[in-house]
Amino acid sequence: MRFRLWEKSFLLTFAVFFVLLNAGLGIWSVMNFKSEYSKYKQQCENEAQNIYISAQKVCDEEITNTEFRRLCSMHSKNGTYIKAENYNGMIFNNLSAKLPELYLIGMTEIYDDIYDYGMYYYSNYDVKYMDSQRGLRFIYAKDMSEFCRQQRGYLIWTGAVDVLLGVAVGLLLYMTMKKIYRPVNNISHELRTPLTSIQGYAQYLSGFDLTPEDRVFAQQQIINEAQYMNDIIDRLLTIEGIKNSRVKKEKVDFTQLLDEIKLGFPDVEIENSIEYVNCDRVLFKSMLMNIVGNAVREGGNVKLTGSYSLIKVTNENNSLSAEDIKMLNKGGLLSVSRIKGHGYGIELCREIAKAHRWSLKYEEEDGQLAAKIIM
Amino acid sequence: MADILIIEDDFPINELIKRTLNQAGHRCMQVYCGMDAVDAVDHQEFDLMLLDVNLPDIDGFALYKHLKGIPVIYITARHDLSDKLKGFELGAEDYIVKPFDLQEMMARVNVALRKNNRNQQIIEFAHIKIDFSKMTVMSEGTAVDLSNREFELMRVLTEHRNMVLSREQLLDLAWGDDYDGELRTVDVHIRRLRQKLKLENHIKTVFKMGYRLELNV
Repeated sequence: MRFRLWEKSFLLTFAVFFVLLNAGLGIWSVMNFKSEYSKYKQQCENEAQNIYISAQKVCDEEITNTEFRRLCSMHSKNGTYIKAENYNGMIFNNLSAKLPELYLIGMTEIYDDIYDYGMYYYSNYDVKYMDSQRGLRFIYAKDMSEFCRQQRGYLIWTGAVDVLLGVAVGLLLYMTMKKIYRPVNNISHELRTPLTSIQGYAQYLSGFDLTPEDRVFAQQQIINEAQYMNDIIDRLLTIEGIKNSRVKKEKVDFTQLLDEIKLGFPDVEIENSIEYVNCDRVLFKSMLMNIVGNAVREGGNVKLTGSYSLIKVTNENNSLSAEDIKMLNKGGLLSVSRIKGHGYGIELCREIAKAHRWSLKYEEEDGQLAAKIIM
Repeated sequence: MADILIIEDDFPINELIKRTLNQAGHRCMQVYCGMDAVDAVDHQEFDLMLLDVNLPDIDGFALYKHLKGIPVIYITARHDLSDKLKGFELGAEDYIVKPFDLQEMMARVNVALRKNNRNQQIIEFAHIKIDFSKMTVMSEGTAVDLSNREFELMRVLTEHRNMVLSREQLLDLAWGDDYDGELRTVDVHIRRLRQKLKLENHIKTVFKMGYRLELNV
C-alpha cells in the first residue's frame, strides 16, 4: 500500500498524538490512583485507630463489651473486619468467617495485591496491633472491593475518553490535512500546465529553424500562457483574500453598476427593476463581470435580468450537459475543453456569493443556461 | 518516421508536442479527450501514444486499459511517486512530468520507439542513405566507413533532426553519461561527419548553442 506525502504526514502526526495522548492519560490514571489510594489508606488508618482506642477502653473497663460490639457491628457494615481479644477472651471477631477468602497482607504489599488479583473483591487492607500491657491483640482488615470497583470504573472511562478523543482528533486532522493538500495540489497542477507551454514554446523558438508564421504562433502562445498564469494567480489571491476577510457592504446603485457592465459588454440585453444592492461594490462588480463574461464567451444572446432579490444571466447557447451543471453547482471545476475559459472565474463568483451570504446557482431554463444570484 | 497519437486536453501543449515531433519527422494525430483517443485507435495504427493523465472525460490510467498494445508515455503534471509507479505498473514506457524539456521528451520518445522496434531503420535524405539495423551509411551510392562513435553521433542527429543540440547534450546522448572527455571532441567528430558524408549544408552550427541537422524528411 502506497501513501501520498500528506497521508504519510497525517499518519506520523496522528501516531505521535496518540502516543502522547495515551502517555498523558496513563500518567494521569496512575497519579489519580495513587492519590485516591493514599486518601483511602488514611481513612482506614483513622478508622482502625478509633476502633483500637475503643478496644483499649474495653480493657480499661471504660466502655462495656456490648458497646464495643455495637460499634464494631456498625463498622462491619462498611466492609470492616475486626478481631479483638484480651486475657479474658474474645471481645469481637467477624474476621474468622471471612478468613479463607481474605488475604491478610502487609501495607507495602497492597499494590501487588490489587494488581495480582486484578480487581478481586477480596483485596484487603489490614492493621495489627498488640498491647502487651493490657493483653490486647487487635486485627483490622478492610474489604477494598468497592474501592477497586470504583478505580476500575475510572480506568474504563479513561480508556473510552482515550479512544473517543483519538478518533475525533484523528478525523479532524485527516480532514484538515486533506483540505490543505487538495488546493495546493490543484494550484500546482494549474500552474504547471501554462508553465509547460511557456518553457516549451521558448525552447521551440530557440531550438528550431522556424518560419516567420511558426515564430509568431509560438510567441503568441507564450504571451497567452503568461497571461493565463497571471489570471490564475490574481484569482487565487482574490479568493484567498475574500476567505480571510469580511466584505465591506454598502448601498450600491445597481443601475449605475449595470451601465458600467454594459460598457464592457455592449451586446448584453439588460432588464432590471432593482435600484440598490447592499454589497461590496468591487467584489459584486467582479462577480457580475465574470458571470456575464462567461456567458458572452460561450456565444449566443446574453440577457441580464434583475428583479426583487434575484439577478439572472441567461445565455441562449447552452453547451453544458445536465451533469456539467450539477458539477458547477457542487463547486467542481469543469475541464477547459467543456468551457471556453479555465473555470477560475466561476470559483471566484461562488466565493463572492458565499461572502455575501447569497447563493449562486446554474440551471437550465428552456434550453438556455441561467446563472442565478439569489440575494 | 513513426505514427504518434497525442492525447492531451490542453491545446497549446498538444500543439507544442505535435510541432516538435513533426520537426523530428514523425506523423502525429492530435486528440483532446479519451473518447476521441479510443476512436482514433480503432481507425488507425500508432507506434506510440503520448498520454495526459488528467483528461476531461476519463482518467489517463483508466484510458490506457482500453488502449493496450500501443506503447505509451505519460505526460502529466502529476508528480507524485504513487502516480509514477501506477503508470509504470500499467506498462508505460516512460513518465514525463510537466513542465518538461523538449529535447528530453524527444530523447524519451526515441528510446521508446527503439525499444519497441518502431523506429525508422532506414533513413534517406539528400545523397545519404543510413541503415541503422546494418549500421551502414551510403553517400552518393558509395559506402562510407564511419567509426562507432561517428555512427552513434549521426543516429542522435537524425533522431533529433531540425532541433538544436548543445555539445553537452550530444556528448550525453552519443557518448553516454560516463564519458569524461572534452566538449571539443564533439566538434572534431562533427567536422569528420561533415567531411566524410559531405553534409556541410545539412549539419549547421548554431552560434553559441550547438549543432542542428537540417532535414526535410
